Amino acid sequence: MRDALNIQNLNKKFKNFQLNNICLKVPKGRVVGLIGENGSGKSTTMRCVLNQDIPESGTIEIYGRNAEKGAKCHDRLGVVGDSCCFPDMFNAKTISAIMKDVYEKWSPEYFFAFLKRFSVPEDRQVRQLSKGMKAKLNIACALAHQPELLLLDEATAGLDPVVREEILDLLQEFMEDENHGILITSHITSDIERIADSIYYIQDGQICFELSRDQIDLYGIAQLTGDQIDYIDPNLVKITRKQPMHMEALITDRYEFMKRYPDYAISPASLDSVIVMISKGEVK
Amino acid sequence: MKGLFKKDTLMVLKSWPIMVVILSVMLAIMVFMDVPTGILSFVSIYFMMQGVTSIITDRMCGWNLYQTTFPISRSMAIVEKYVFSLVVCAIGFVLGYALTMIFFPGIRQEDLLVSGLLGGILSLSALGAGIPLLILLPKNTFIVSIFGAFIPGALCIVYWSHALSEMSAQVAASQGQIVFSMRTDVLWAELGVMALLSMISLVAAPYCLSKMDQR
Repeated sequence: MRDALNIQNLNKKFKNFQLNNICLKVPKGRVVGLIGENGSGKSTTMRCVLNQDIPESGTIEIYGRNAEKGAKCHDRLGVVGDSCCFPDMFNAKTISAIMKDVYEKWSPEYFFAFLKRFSVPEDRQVRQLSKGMKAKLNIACALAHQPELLLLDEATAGLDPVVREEILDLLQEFMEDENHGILITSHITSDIERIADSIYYIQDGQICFELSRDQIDLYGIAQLTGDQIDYIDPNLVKITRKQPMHMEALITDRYEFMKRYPDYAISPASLDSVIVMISKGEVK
Repeated sequence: MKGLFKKDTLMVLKSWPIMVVILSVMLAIMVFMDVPTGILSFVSIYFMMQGVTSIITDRMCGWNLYQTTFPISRSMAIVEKYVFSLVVCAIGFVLGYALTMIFFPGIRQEDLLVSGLLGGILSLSALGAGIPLLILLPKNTFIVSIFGAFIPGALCIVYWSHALSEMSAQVAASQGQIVFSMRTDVLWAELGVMALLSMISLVAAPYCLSKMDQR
């Protein structure tokens, strides 16, 4: 079964930065999150997928079609960035008139129904829209031509929690179709945690690790002394990290840990804490 | 390409008040100073620049990046700029001719021809050199790009001026036996050179620029 997006051994070199052998898949019916610090390579990876940056080597396939060979595969793509890229003087009606001639499957009915649902005025110029309205306009444009793969590059950055929640609900509606896929990049881990089925962590242009939602749900952070660390089953401990007064351990199965060591303190691991542990901890 | 063409057309149409003001002011100046040859060339160059400088607007708002997400190749998007600029320039030529006939109905044919050729040379220079420069160079060097766009055309005009000076010297030396002419043959040749430059740019730029990282 073809993946919605398949990136293999992507390499891209800049003067002070490079992407090294990026391998990433977005299976159909899945939401994949790509997280990392600012400057880690998230947007560069997206730019390579969209042929904005030309990679030195590697392959990028969108539903089995080589993305570098032609832009035709982009009709299955919907892209949402962190800013509104429409000329300030345009309004939603103008944008729809343009997009009708860009995409074969552009649906003005869907576009305007979406705008109405999210209270984005049709006649107001882009320069007069709030940041939240611009984000919704971006998403409307990305969805109105019935794409199958959505690429969201920091799409929720700078938005208030209410708007972010609306957008995330929308993405979940989009995923009701099993053929669809989403690749979302963000440094807001709570958004990723909410909807992603799997997460890639990128740092300094390299994919450091991949985690599934199931794995993250099972992870726990245990606060232990040095003696306790030595006592517990090493198969349950993925990473340890020394803190001033104690040790922290990333436990691979907290339910098993709680069953076997009921007296030891453990809490569910958030995505943030998992990332910090894996990035900064030591393998036991 | 149709969608991109529509977008650029709408951009120009939405800025029509400013265009009318600028054209009116320049027209008034030329009529007041009795410069019939300036209208046709100015209007055609002005309209050509609406097309060429649409690249600036695209880059400033991020549209140039956004359009790479469309099912339109990057090279086709660049070709669209050439086509759009030529169409807009042609409209400018027609409008410039009409305005010249309205305000200076008695203009000499040779003067009208010179005006048209100068407008054509500079317009094609802006097209052939301006589009690649505006796409290639960083955002904060747009002024340099616009200046650079006119360099080939300016060199042609300098050469033509030199030819005119030589013609004047010959006329003066011949004591009236040689009749002064505006050396439109030189202008025609230069128009051909600019047309060739534009053709080469149209063929090479989309291919080369689409193989580079998008700025």
